[in-house]
Amino acid sequence: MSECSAMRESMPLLLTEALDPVRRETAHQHIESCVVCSEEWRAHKETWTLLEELPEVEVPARVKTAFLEKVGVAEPAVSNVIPFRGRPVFKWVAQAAAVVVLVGGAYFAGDRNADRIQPTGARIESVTPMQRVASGITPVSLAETRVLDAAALSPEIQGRPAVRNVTCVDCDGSDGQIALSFDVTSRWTVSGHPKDESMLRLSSYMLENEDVASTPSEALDSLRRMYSDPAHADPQIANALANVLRSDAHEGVRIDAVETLTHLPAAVSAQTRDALIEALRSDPNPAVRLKAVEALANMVRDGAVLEPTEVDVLRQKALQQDENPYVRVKVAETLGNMQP
Amino acid sequence: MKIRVSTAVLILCVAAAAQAAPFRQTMTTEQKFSITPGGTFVLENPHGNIDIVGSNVTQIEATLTTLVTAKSEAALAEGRRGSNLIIGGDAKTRIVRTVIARKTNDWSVAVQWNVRVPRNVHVHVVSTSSERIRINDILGSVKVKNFRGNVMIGDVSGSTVVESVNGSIVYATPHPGGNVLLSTVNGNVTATVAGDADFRWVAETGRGDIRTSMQQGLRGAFFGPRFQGTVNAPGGPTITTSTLMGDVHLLAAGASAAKTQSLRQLPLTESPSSRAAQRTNTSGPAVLRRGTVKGLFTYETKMGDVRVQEIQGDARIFTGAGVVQIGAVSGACNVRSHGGPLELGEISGVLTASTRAGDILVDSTRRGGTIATQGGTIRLLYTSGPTTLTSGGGDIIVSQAAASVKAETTSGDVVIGVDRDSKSEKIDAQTKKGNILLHVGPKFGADIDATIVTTDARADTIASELPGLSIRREHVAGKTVVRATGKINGGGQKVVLHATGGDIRISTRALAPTVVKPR
Repeated sequence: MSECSAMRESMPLLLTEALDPVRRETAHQHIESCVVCSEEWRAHKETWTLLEELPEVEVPARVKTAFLEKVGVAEPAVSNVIPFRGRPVFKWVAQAAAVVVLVGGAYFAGDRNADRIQPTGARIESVTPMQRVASGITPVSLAETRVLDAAALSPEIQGRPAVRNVTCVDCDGSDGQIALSFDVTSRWTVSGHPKDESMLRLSSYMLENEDVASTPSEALDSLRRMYSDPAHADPQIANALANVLRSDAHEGVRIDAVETLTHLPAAVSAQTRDALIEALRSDPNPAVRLKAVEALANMVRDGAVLEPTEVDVLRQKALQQDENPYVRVKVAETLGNMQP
Repeated sequence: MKIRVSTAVLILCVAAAAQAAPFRQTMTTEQKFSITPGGTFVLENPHGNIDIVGSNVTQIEATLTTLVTAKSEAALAEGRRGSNLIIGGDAKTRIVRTVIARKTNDWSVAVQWNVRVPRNVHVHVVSTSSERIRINDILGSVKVKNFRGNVMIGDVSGSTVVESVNGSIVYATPHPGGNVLLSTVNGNVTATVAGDADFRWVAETGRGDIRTSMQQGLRGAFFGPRFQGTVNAPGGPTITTSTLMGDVHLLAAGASAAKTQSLRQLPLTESPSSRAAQRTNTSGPAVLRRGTVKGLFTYETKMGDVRVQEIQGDARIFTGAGVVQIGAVSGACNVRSHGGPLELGEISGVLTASTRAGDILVDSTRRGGTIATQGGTIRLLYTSGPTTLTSGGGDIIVSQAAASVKAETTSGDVVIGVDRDSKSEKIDAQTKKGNILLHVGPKFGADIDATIVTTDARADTIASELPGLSIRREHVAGKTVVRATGKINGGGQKVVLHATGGDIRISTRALAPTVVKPR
């Protein structure tokens, strides 16, 4: 416990990176293994981040003077400055007069020097809808690598983003240019309507690239559930799920994908028919094949008409002796409900 | 007064019927197509009946009756324009095709073909829907492929192949000269041959029965659901009759259909592997429904659903393919399925439940047991006995475990909620791709050994809301192995968690209730 106390005391130094390397490493190791200190460290970091984000407020001069006086570091008085004592009534009259002079002068000068434009019949030739840009920010795209001109990067750094793997690509400065390359980890929160193109693409990417996107399964489940809702269902999401069904090596992931497809409205998932047929024909896991049939049955129930080659696949599957009998029965039921 | 009201209603009904009556037009044309002796006649007709008869003619003589049905006069005209006849190929292979423009809901076209062909030609028919396709008296081979509608083949000396989906097949040739393959998915198959015909017979059905009136000369055995044997003398062509959902009949010409017998009841030579299969080859109803059953309940079906409200005793249930739904079992429960979901309620005795494909949902098992699927999600809401759960792919969720749990999935998440009052339980959870979430009470004590194997150590982590774990990292063959060991709340039973490509979380929050669809 005494170790924990010592660690907590050294946390401010750790935050300001004032600890020597050995103590820093020891502190990090302890934090990693101790849940209580880990929690404490997280709180410290949060507070620090909040402090960074707070606007810097200029201290009023008299407060500053009073503080400095109290601590005995009073600013030396300047002998040739005579304090100006304001006279309120005179001050208001002077300000009003100044405003009248400025406004009147500006009008006079502007009116004399302005170009005269003859009035014409104005007409709108065309209207280009303005692209929606959130909060006046130019749309940015998520990218694996990005090359930026320094002018495009705000000098302000918000919070304490983790910057790693810094390399000096060009640091001699002889040509008046330098280049730094690094990885930066920052937390993004993107909000928008589920059917916004950006939200759809982002969600599709996460559903489709589970390994790269490292999306926790609860988050994926929530996404799948949300896009199963007919109000939000979209072909782009269906296609992403179809790609997962085609290519993911893990049957659990494929089962989740095909299960979501089963619940999508047939009109939305029509484009995914190939993937379902392919899964039915050759997926090694019986549960995936079973759910693929259920998804196809759902489409047929909603009036989808399958191509003759697709019907042939179903027929062969129904009669395939080494196929799981329940899959065969489900295929037969689907065929039985089909309108030629 | 009554009469007047009835008359008014009648008039209204007739008027309504007249209003709803579709517009119809029937057109009949006659066509002749040349074909060489021994040539092949290919007819593709998507909608409409087909009758083809071999006769003493030298060319193909066809009468086409086109029936256009439409909702309006305009649609009728459109329907008339929407169907065309395309004649292709040459005299050796004559291809005739009815082409119907993309159908709308406003009109439909069916073309009925009555064709006379030279007996020695081969006939190939492709159809989508019809009431019947009938082919008779052909010396050459016959090939028919259709989706809906019955197919009747009579007196075809050559080889015959009929592939249907939603229709029945009737084949009658006294002495088949070539191999015969008759297969459908949702229909029956009936083959009638002479009583003295020699041939090999292969028969298979999923849900139906295989019956014959030729039991005298029959020898053979079941190989799984498939029967293979010979009728009369060995040799001769092979007649293959298969359907998934219907019955198969092999009849001797002239014998009464009532004299047929199920092959399951015949004393056939059995292959060793077929004995077990035959025991369960009883054709039960598509769905067996029972209310409350008192005492031991044993039921086996090769294909069909089993739905029982309550069993006051032990239960032993097997289905080759189907849904098993049991409300409650007061004794031990053994449910096996070769495919289909299992939905089990309150199981008071030891539970053994397995399926080769499908999800498993169990409300509770008081004495634990074994639950396994080769692919699907397992949801167990409550267990108070040692329980082993295995999935070949899919999540495993145990909402409340008041006993030891062993859960393993090939890929998927494992979520285990330990009873909040439990001070310690033995838990062993493994996933080869996915996360493990262990929910325990704040005073839960255990010796934890948690490992994740990952290629992205920043993304996959071990986190515990209970202190006491120390974490080590190792790099093995390009992967990071993160291992957390230690005692929580002073230690207790062994808790082993192993996840590949996912997180491990030990949480003291209560597990969210499992939402189950109403049965």
